[in-house]
Amino acid sequence: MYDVIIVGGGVSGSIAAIAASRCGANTLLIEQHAFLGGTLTACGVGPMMTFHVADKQVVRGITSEVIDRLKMKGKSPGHIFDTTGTTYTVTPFDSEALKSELEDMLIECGGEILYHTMLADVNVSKGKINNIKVCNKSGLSDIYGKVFIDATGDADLSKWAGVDCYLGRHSDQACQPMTLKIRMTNVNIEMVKESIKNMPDEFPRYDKHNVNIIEKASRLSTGGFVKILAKAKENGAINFNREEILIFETNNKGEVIINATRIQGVLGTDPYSLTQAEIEGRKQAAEIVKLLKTEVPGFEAAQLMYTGPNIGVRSSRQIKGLYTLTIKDLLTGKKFEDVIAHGGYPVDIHPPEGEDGDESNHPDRERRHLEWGKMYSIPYRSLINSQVVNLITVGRCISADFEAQGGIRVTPIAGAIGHAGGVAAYLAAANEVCTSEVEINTLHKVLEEQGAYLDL
Amino acid sequence: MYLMKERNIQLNAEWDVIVVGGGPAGCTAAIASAREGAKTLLIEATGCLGGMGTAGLVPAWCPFSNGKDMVTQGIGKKIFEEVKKGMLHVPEDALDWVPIDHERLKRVYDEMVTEAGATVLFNTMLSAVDADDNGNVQAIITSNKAGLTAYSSKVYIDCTADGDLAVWAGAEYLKGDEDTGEMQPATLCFLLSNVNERAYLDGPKLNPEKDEHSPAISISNSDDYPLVKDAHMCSVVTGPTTVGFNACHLYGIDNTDPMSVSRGLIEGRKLADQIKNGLAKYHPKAFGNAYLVATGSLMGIRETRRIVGDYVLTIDDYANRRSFEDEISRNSYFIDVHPSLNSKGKKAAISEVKSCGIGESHGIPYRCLTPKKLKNVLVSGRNISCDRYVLGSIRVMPPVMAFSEAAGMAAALATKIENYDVHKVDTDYLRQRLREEGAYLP
Repeated sequence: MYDVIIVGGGVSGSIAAIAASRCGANTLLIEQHAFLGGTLTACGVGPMMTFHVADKQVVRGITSEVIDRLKMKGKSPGHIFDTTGTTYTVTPFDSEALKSELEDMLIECGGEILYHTMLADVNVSKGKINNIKVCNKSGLSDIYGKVFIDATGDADLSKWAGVDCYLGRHSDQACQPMTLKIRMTNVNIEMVKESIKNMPDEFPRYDKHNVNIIEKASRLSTGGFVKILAKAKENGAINFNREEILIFETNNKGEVIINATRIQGVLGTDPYSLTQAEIEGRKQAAEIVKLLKTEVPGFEAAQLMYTGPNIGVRSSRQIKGLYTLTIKDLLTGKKFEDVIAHGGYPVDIHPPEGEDGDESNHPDRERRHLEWGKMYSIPYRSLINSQVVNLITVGRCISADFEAQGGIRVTPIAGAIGHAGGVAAYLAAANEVCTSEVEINTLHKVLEEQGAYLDL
Repeated sequence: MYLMKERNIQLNAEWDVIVVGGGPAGCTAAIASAREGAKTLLIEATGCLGGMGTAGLVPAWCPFSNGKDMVTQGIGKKIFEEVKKGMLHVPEDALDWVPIDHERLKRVYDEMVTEAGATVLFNTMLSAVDADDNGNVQAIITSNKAGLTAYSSKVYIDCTADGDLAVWAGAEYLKGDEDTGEMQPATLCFLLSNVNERAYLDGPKLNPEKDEHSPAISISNSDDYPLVKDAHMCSVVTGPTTVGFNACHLYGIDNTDPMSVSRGLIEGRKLADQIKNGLAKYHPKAFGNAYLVATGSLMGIRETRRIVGDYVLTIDDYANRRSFEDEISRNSYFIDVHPSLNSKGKKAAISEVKSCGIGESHGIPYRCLTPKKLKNVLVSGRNISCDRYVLGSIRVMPPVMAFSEAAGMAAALATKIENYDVHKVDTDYLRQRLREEGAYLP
């Protein structure tokens, strides 16, 4: 019998587990893969984007402590200027070091981890989860806990426990496309920078006034080679719908993460669809790698180190919680008495199938535009629901509308949400109350003691 | 204990053959089964095919030849040749200890399995098996993003490497050393990048069996790397500035116990970091600026259960290079038993068995793939019926692919037999079909 059981060891679930464990909860974290970190390790995403609103760091606490610890070991340069011009800062890191850091931090405070273990089923009676059923090399087994945290990213535990959910865009249930990330090494970054300066047509995100921002950070983040990509689509070398190649230098010299594949019309909650996406993702990745090596300066001697290993899912289910965060709340910076996290990442929606063209030309683009320097807030009520009393949902699948999710879905904010979810789960377990009865003042107090930023 | 509440789950019953586990065994079996015309489903727990050769980051293929003949041919040879085509630094005619481009291998498996007509289901784990008292598996239960689902087929092939399906269906098995229960230690493979390739190739060899000045010996003798318990160090250039490692051991890990593997993975990642630091210190010209770019997303497990089949292959069969009337493949890999902590004495006994010399090999009978007591289940991969010494030889990818092609073919043949009884497959016809498809069966 655990006090707190977290299903899913991505950023949100890992931080939730560390937070609950540090409070003193007897904590178990269940993870499907062989390591923690979720999208950052199992899907190869990087850098983290973003801990800041303008000059102010609004994601702090345990999520930020992970970066501080990596920085001390030389495994992250910390929060550096975003040279793509998308947001304020980006946070590159060494993904192998991140795996170890997250598990070390959890084990240090007494948390337990069970890898290669998948959620199989949930046993609910009278609106309360008695136990979950998990699948691993021992077959099926039951695990009992007082409070459960759904950090599956797809609200699997919540949905199966009977919580109402939204799926994708409210008008047609379409989800954001998936991306299989590509990691390449032996890339000549100086040559990529030369291209940015000398081939302005390839890099429409810069103009001659701001092109020098690429020198403002110790690691390059950029997007471009749009003409090379357009030509490749014309001549059949690239067979999918993407307009720009995003390139992110990691903590390691000459190592980059390429965000350039796009798999549309697939669904993260359907195993057959996910399978199709994995295979299609690898096909697209092979096309991009070939294009980079033959057409893009700086990639001549580069090599594909690995893809994924798993396909990256941007959006699927959102729970229908006690409060559904809206795009309007983000754009107006609405304040909440039960605020638990903040963010400033812009509303970033990659086009699902069915809409025409590039999302940047979308008619709603202006309506969605987050003012530079605007901070938004996330209430505790978006993590809990009215149907299951001992459940907290964290990460990208909290109660939010499709467009608001486009902002809060990123890893630093998921970490901050997880932090609050972990503390709240501990409080509910320790005081033997429903997750909706957790005292907000106490939650705020503990979060601040653990270093979280709350604009109260 | 907890009794599962009775409830209805979805049943998917449209398959002739279901293969559980998408490593080299499962992929080869699925390709062979689909090629014979069976409607085949391949279920895999991760998001890619290939198992240890891809997700596990094993840096090189064990030998495909015995120095004279290519011993693994058929589908295994096609996979191997296809991967090699994209690796410019590998000589075209290389057969033994060829490095693996893991990403290319993933794509080759994706393409060959789907082109053969098999259906793949990723991110799906075997949860339970329903079998009747006569050894007929009725259905398997799986877990994935859709929750629990039942699948049924005429014949099942257990390519889980641990015999999960067969054991949960009621098969007999043996596991580890008969006295101590110990198994071969595990290894978490990893890749270092930004290596000075020239210095690596020209400097001391890392394998201590090939160079008494190996830095691996200095690292294991130093107190600075407490997790490094031995000097085992195989390595190879897998791509520009990148070296893949199968190095050191993790002891006492049981892959059938999820908590044990969880602990092992955490230790394995720390160990990889210590090896990297040790190499930077003792071979700075090559590794001074190297970084750990990836650790395997699967633990490298060498040994767990051995399913008891109609025949148990023994070290004696290996020593005498025995042939069998129903043999479905040949093997020539040496007896490669990595010693566990308390079995050093036994290693000496094994080492008296002479490795297969040039041109030598032994046969693997079909009966090693057919579990006693079970009717419609075949096993393939390292969990076939054998003793633990010969397991040390047949466990590696080339021999596994050779007999797994037979497993897939036999499963398809068994779908046409009464009660789908795999024990009644006509092995003469099976061997004929294998030869027609290019298998090495002299």
